[in-house]
Amino acid sequence: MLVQGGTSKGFPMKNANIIGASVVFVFSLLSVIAVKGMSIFESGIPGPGFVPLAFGLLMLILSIALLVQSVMTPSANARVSFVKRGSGLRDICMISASLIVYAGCIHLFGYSMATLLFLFALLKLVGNYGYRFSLMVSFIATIVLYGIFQYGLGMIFPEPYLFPFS
Amino acid sequence: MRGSGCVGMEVLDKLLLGFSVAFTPENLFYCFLGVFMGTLIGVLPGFGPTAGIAILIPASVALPPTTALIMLAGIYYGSMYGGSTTAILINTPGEAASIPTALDGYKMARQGRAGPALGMSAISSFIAGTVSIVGLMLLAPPLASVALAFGPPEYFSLMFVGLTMVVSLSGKSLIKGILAGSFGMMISTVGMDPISGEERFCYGSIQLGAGIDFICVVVGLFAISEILCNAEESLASVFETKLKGLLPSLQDWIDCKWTLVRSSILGFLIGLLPGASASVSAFIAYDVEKKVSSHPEKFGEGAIEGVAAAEGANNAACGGGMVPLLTLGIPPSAPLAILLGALMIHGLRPGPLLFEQNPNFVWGLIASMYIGNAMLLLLNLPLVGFWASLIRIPYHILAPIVLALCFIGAYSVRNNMFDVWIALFFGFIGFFMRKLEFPAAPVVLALVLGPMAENALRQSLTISRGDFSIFLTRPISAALLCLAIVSLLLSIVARWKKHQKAEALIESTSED
Repeated sequence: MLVQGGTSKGFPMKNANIIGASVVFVFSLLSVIAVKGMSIFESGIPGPGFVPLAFGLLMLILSIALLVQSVMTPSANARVSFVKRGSGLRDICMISASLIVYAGCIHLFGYSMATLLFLFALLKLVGNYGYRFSLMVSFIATIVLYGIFQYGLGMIFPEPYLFPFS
Repeated sequence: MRGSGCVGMEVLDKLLLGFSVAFTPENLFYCFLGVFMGTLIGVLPGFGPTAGIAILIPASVALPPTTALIMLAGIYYGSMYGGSTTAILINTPGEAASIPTALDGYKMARQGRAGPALGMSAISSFIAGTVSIVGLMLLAPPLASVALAFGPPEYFSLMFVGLTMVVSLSGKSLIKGILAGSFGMMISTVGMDPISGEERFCYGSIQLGAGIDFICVVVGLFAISEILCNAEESLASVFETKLKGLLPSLQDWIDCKWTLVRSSILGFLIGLLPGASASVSAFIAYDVEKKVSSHPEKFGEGAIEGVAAAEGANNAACGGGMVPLLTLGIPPSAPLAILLGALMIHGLRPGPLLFEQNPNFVWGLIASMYIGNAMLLLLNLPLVGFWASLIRIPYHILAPIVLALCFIGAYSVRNNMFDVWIALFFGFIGFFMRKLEFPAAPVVLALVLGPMAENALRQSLTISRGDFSIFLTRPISAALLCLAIVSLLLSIVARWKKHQKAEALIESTSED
């Protein structure tokens, strides 16, 4: 069965729900404002702005309802947290940062080099494997993925800025 | 009037056509690849069929449409087979539809009967899967011929029925489900309006002008977010069970003979219903089996009927779910919503015209499901040791590789790094949605059905010169709208009653 990691202390779920509802409210408000330049009805027929306005308004109303519900709902369990502190949160942050850096590195170094670095980083920093094992697995996985997509499926990978030959 | 014999011969003729399409070396290979990958996805905890299909759609783009959908459908029903392996061996269901299997399957494994549990699971899946494909074959063509009378108003009403499934896919909170569906509708409007050519939410960006691609959203919302959520948990994979003797005993067959029939029929019928996924059918079949059993106390303690019922039903639901998908373009569950997107990407619009305009594709797909089902039986019985060994691969090694695959998949959509950033963005959105208990399936459903619904609405109102009564004056459209409203009301009432029961239970517990 799944084993939970990390501690149970963290950002309370009730607060997270309130923030989430607020974000949805802001998003829907901005969407409704953005529809302003589009035509809603043209000669009695819905124009391009009709569906965005209808669903933007629906989201606005529902987000207010959700916000009220989140505020009114008592904290059933004060220990329930949005995300557990400890190793779990650290891993999420590591993976998220790695993904952003990976996407950036594809532009600079090309797919194969960026993938090798990405896999190595995750295996070493999140998986806590040794250097040799991480390098070996990253190398093999990169070759297999690159081979399947480049030669098997004929995919053209993005041209890197720094290493045009990768 | 044609007799039923003539209709039967017609179906048989079309099935033979389908086999001629499916029995090409290319289609056989990709059918095998699909069911193999589906089993793999089902075996590996942390990866579900929805994420699996989403990740592999980009790989299918280079293939001919029939071949691509044969492979992707194979992943869908193959994953039902694979999920039972981990459920039985390490009490970790590979996907939700195998949770009831774990209740008795794992107990059987602890009693030294892992082999018969796995064997019965594979055989009941095969039998129920075959029955459901027969049901699909018989039910789909007449339903499709009825739907030939559809015009834009009927299509809009049909899409509206599909969109009301948001309620069924909403999980615990209806408000959050509808918000997620609305969010999906908003995303679907980004780009150029197909009717007027006006830009919507583009802000001068050429990439946004091309719209937000379905694959990028799905890869982000389901695959990337799943891995981020799983990063919080440690997946334990301790597999110590020895496997010996895969075939169930004669007594097992006697005990399960009616279970196989019941689970096949029940699973197929439940699979037809919107919102009723394979996991729902598995739970219901398990519950029914326990109720009709002369020894209900054995369930949960290693009853092989429990394994047969759950696995049979979840496989039968796959065939059942394909009926509304192919005939009406309504996906009754999240993985089928992804499959619907795949059909659209390959230029195949599901619905009544699919049977008329692409009979080779439809019957080729149905025939391939027979073949795939047989392949799965061969894959899962002799190769069970191989699948069991895969459970030993640590999640920390698999997850980074899957993430790299996600990036390739997103990039391959339009050979554009912008799509990779979109997938990443939706990965983070999906993570927060999961943590805040917003369901992701309604987003995908709305993203796929939304543009079709909008086009049908605007076309209908162009025909009627802005008169909304066109949806009520046309009988099929009116009937579909009534169905949607009744279904919506019933779902809301059912949720409210469930909520009341839960509150009453909490109150009585706190009083004690």
